[in-house]
Amino acid sequence: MVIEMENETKAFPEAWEKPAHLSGTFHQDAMHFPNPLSPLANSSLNPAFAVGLPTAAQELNAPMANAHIFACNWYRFEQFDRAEPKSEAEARAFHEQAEATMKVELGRLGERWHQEHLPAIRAILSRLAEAEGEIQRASAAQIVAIIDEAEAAHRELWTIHFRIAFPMLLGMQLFDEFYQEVFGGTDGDSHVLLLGVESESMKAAIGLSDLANSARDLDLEPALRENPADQLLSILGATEPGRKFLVALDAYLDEYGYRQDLFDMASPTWREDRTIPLANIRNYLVTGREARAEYESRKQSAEAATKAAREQLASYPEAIRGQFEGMLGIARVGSFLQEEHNFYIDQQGLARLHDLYLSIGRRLVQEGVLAEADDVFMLLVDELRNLFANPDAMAQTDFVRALVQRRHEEMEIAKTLTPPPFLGDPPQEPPAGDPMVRAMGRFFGGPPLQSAASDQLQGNPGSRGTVSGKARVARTLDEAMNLQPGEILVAVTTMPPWTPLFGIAAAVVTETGGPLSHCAIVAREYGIPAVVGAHGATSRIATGQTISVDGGTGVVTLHE
Amino acid sequence: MAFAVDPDDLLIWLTRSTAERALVGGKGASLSQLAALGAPVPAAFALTTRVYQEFASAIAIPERASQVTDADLPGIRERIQQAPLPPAIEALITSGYETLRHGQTCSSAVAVRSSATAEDSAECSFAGLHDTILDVRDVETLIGAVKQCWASLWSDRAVSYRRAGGFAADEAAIGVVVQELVPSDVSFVVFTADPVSNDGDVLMITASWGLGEAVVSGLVVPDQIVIDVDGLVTDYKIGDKHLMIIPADKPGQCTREVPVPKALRSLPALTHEQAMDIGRTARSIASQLGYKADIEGAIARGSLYILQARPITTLTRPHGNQVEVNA
Repeated sequence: MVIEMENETKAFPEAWEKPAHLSGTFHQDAMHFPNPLSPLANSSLNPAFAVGLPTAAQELNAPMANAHIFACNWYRFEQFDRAEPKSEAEARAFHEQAEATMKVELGRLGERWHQEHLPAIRAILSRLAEAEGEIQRASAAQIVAIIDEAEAAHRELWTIHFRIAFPMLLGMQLFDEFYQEVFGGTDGDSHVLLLGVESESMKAAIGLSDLANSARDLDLEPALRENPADQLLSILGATEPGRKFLVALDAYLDEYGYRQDLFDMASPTWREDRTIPLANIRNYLVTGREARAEYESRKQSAEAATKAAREQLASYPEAIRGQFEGMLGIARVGSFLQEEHNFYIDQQGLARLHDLYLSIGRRLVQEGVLAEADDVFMLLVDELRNLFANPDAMAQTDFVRALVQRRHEEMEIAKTLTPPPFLGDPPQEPPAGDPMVRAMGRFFGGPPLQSAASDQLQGNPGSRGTVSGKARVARTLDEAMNLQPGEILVAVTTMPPWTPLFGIAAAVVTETGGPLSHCAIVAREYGIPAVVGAHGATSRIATGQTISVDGGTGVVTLHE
Repeated sequence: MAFAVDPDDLLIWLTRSTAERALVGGKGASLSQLAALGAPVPAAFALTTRVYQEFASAIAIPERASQVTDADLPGIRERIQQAPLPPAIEALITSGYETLRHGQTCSSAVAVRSSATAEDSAECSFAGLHDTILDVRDVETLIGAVKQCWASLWSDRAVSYRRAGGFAADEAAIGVVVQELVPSDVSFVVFTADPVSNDGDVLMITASWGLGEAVVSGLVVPDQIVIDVDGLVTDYKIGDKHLMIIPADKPGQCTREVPVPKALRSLPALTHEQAMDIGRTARSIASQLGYKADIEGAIARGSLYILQARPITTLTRPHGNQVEVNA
């Protein structure tokens, strides 16, 4: 097993190239990383991934032959190739072994989470929080040790992530396939049975909705709705009820504020930038939606659908009924873990790392090395480490500041670029005989689909239903906050921090993803139409343009 | 209407005693014989030929096929279906059904089968000529089903068979078997000899998911299990059980054919323990019957049931387009 993390900054203007000594295909995962990642994020996340994913795959008897991640123009390109069997016999042996291992893992999915993964994650999060507190008084050598610890923790977090992700996706895929085999129908049908699972993400949404209600009770609704987000804090701080509300908000953020916009360690957390949660609360007020009531309604839908399925199965042989119950149980755990792992690892893990590195940044401001604390994100981990390991390096403040400046400029340019979907050899169609491969395909969405008509975009069905309305094109969560009720959200991708917006949008269109992607699943939870994997949507559609969305066929029609 | 006949000759419980073929027809006799041997047969009763005869004479249906022409047949069948049952007969059927339902452990449905007296002997086979109605869940439907079985005695095919069989076969009388419907999780057929070599030391079981028709009619490639002289499984060949017949979910329909989910097609339908249990039961039945037997049965709710046993005859064994469903 070969692991490599390459990090190259190309001369700007861009040249999109892979490192010369690497071969094969490298994908740009636009679903998770539509934007360029900060230098620190690239240099921390990429090695963590490049260790975590293959380690988990190896444990599942699906070993990776190649696992490389490099950054080009600060966009991440990754390659994860399964080991190729040398013969038919070896292929069969691989397959059997992987199947047998996966079967065990599927059966243990919930148990392992509660007994193994969650305690491990909590220990890591707790240690990261503790280490953050130590930065202020630590010696340079101690800070070096903390950086090494943080990087090791990051690798472990992603290893745990993939230990969960593979069986989780597979469990949902197998249930969906089984369901369709028995009952027919389409993707949307089986997922109804998985709705309404309680998770930390759900509790976070309910907490936010409850805050909206208390804001209303405190007569703060007009203030929240009529003022721009960046003025809200001073306006609220000026009155007694406003201050009371802010106390409640901070209490909420102490528990649920460790989250950021997309996957960049550099992004401020909700705790740091309270305009983000405030904008979410405003959205709840504008639409009058109740997260708790919606959750209950989803639970009821799931219960009704499950009851109906069981009735239909009553005349089936016991073996089929038993299989259904087993697969349903596993898929429900999968659905729970989809939200839960994201809450703890993707959100809290990265937020804690953000906080830790930001603390180091503050320390460097104190030392006179950096101008701003968050400049720390413009440095690579090795560069940062070197500053503390090597007093001479720390002394070269002009050099460091010039480097930081240059990196800022590169990031600004990078944000205007559109990365190619791959570098190196063109991607090959993966064999569909493996359900895990099919699951990944339905998560990521497959290659771009062509539409016959010039005024149409073809994507994957994400959530059934048809609707027409004005488009709101958003490439970042910030832009998406402008979404008005009844508008159709058009984005490159929507990750969990965008979830509250699904309560406002009439429909969602994304450029990335398949029926098992996060966007599709959340859209089904909220009962709104969604088309996912509609390549080019954010370039071809303009904000304010009227579009029609058919979530059942995956067709988006552009009007005007 | 009072019967001159002893009520015990009208409704006979097949799982309590050996019953005569002349009273309960071939199917009924076979079932009661199996029960008497100690085989696990689902609970059943038979309405004897006498019930039919009383009803038929009350509405003036002729006794013999030679007494009617083909043109008369639709009218005869119509009369049988439409004529109301005499209250005493209706009470008899209702009470029998309720007793059956009360004792049911396995399912809430019954199967109604014609049981003709000239059927299933080694020489000739009327099998497949008379009706079977599955998945009956209430008394009205049951009564309709009973009449349908009685009327099937006068189908064109049945009548022409009786005419061709000569005088002895021409006495029109039919029994009706009402049996607890086993919701088979797995159905099987056992031959108490190798079907090719006729070696009696070896048993062959074929098994598949759902009701037995899928196995019997050749709808799927079933699992094939060989049991040796010591009762052990010596070979288990898993078949691609890609379809199954299961009870319909709509009232009024009998059964439906559905695909088997991929995950279960290549899973063995029987455990080794179940196969050995089937082997032991089949051997016991065959040795008591005194011939090499073709035995049909099912596993439902974890219990083994025997549904039918007859001599292995490659010529008279019904296949393909049979009307009957043995499940």
